[in-house]
Amino acid sequence: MKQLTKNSLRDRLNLAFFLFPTMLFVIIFIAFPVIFSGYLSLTEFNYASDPAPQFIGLKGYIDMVKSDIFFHTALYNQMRFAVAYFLIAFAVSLVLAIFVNELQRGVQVFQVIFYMPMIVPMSLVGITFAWILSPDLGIFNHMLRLLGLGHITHDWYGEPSTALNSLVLARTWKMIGFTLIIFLAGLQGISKSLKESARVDGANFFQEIVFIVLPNLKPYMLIGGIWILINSLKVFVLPQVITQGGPGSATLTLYLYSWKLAFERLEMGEASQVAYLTAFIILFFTWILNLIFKPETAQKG
Amino acid sequence: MKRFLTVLVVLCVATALFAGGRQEAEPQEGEQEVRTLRVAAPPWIYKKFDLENYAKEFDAAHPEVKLELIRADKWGGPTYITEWKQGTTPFDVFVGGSGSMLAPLIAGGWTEPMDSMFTGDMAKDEFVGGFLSAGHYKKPEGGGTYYPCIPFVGEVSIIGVNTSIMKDAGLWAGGGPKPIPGWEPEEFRNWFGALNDASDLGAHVQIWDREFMQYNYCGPIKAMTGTFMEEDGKGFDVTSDAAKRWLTYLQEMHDEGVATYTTTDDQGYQKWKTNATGSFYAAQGHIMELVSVTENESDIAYLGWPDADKNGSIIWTHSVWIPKVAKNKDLAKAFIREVVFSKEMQQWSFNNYGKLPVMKDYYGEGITWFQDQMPTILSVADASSPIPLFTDLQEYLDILFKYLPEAAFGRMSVDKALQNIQDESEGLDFSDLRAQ
Repeated sequence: MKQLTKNSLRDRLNLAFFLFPTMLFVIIFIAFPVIFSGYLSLTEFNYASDPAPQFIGLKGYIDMVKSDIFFHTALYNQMRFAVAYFLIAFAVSLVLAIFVNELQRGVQVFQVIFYMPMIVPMSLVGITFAWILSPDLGIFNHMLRLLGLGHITHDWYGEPSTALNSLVLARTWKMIGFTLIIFLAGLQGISKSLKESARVDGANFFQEIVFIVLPNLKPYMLIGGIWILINSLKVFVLPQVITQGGPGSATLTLYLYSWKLAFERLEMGEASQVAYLTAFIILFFTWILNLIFKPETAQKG
Repeated sequence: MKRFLTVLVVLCVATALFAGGRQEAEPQEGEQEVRTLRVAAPPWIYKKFDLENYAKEFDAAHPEVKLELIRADKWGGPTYITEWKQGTTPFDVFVGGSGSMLAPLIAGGWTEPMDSMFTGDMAKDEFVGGFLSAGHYKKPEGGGTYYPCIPFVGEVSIIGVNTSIMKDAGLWAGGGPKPIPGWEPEEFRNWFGALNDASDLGAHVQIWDREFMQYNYCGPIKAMTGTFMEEDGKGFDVTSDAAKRWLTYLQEMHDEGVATYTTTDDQGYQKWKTNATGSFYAAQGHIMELVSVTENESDIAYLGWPDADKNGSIIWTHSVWIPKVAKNKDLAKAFIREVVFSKEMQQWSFNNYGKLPVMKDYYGEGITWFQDQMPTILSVADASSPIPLFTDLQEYLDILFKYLPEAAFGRMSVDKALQNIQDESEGLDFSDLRAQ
């Protein structure tokens, strides 16, 4: 490749020419919407009846955070969902990755099995789980009755106490494949001699995991953790498809609330405020994760 | 040369992507100018009104018109508004849209006034009163009322009863169901108690999703008192004795196992179609779905809540409307008159799917089923009214959805639920887009 240090005009034009379509795409479909919705978040604007956005500065954000009961509910639900999903998805994918890594044979088969839910559209996952957990016709309640556990059958999506956790279950099933692959890659990168040395020194399997595997897996746990975290805060399709934010507002999430504001109430200013507040929350928790797993480990990952 | 060819290919692709639009062929000299009429409707309208077939007749009768039928798979209010702001529209007439779906468009003055349509066979007094009122709105700019859309299909919230179970329960007399005697606790409970004893899966089913919740709550209160609104017009009645009584009955029926409330409409229909439930409070058309299972229309009868024949229930409609920026409004209006309001299409829809025609004259000859139930259905529908379209309706429904199901399902006390609704809806804008 010709060195650009020669500042050849022709090379620069070639570069610009081939970058142009991608840059155009980024500007039109990413940069412009982000900047424009940032502007909208500082306005009051009903898309159907207001001729133009009316600038109100940070008042919208302040009112949203102070007195919008649905925002408070969505934030609370989102945090509950995020904590439950993060812990379960992280633990399950880590345990499964360790299990798969210990197998002598069939590692790739299990990789495929656990990754396959990732290719199923989220909306299909929602519809399928709605049927599985249906109170009358669902196979889950049917199996509970067959096992003599009919007393714990529930309307899993219809009762506020179980609706959000049922969404966590569906999402975990679909999404753990990706973090499992990340963790598995990390596990397979750990030198076998380290584990063998530990065994020679008398370490049992549990000690091996805690003192050898997990410390060496930190960079991958950071990446996997960030991915799970971001996914735990971007919850829209499942509540939209299965519960529409109900029962009551038990499964109203921040993304779903933003959508409702934009497409049901046509309040574009408020919808943008919720979207930006969600983005700030994601950034905040990403920063916390970075502190926990220490920045220098991200480079190793 | 290779680089030149690469550049050429990229430019051609870019031109194809960005050039866009196809030119309509200009009419040749001597040819009659053909105008295009674009008719959009959601898929369920195509199915339940056989729109494609009836539109062919319009096509044949108007050779100067090219009819383009568009399936609107998703309601795209914001998308439509974006195009309308540019002065263009993806369709000339839209067949479908409930009140809450149309409210933002009407509030913004985006639809064409349809008052000039009420002539001849479509004169106002030819309509079922309750249904036409659902298309009557205040002008967005003030100074009077108008019709920005015309309801073409109606639904009324009514009780359907399983006639076999009613007979087993001893609630059948004189060839028809014995009505619920009244709203006093003992007579109300006794009626449902008798029905429950004869029903394998409970006496009563209601759908308590976000949409039906409002009809389930407001319909019986209107039957009881003649209105479901607060005296000051700020929201639904949550303070009167009638409101407390009704919500208490709902809770008691649930807690005693007399009633099942489902959280999705699909679950509700499934429950009703088991043919083992005594009654179903739902849209009249959905109640008819039992016939698809039993294949016998006499398995269903209709009842109103006590005094619903006098005080009415809740109705809702779907309307036909024209975007204000549409170019071919005269063609659109001709299509509405000749197709959407044709007796043939409206009766076909009722005879196949139970969708209620909005014209009084369409209930006689030509209707092939449930003729004996029509007087009950029409008497309730005629006295009924639609849910108001408050400016903050969506937010209000979210608040109601937070608390009303909690009380109905027995998870919150009635007093607390009603108080919470009062408290949290203070400050909402209850200006009603609908005209009285």
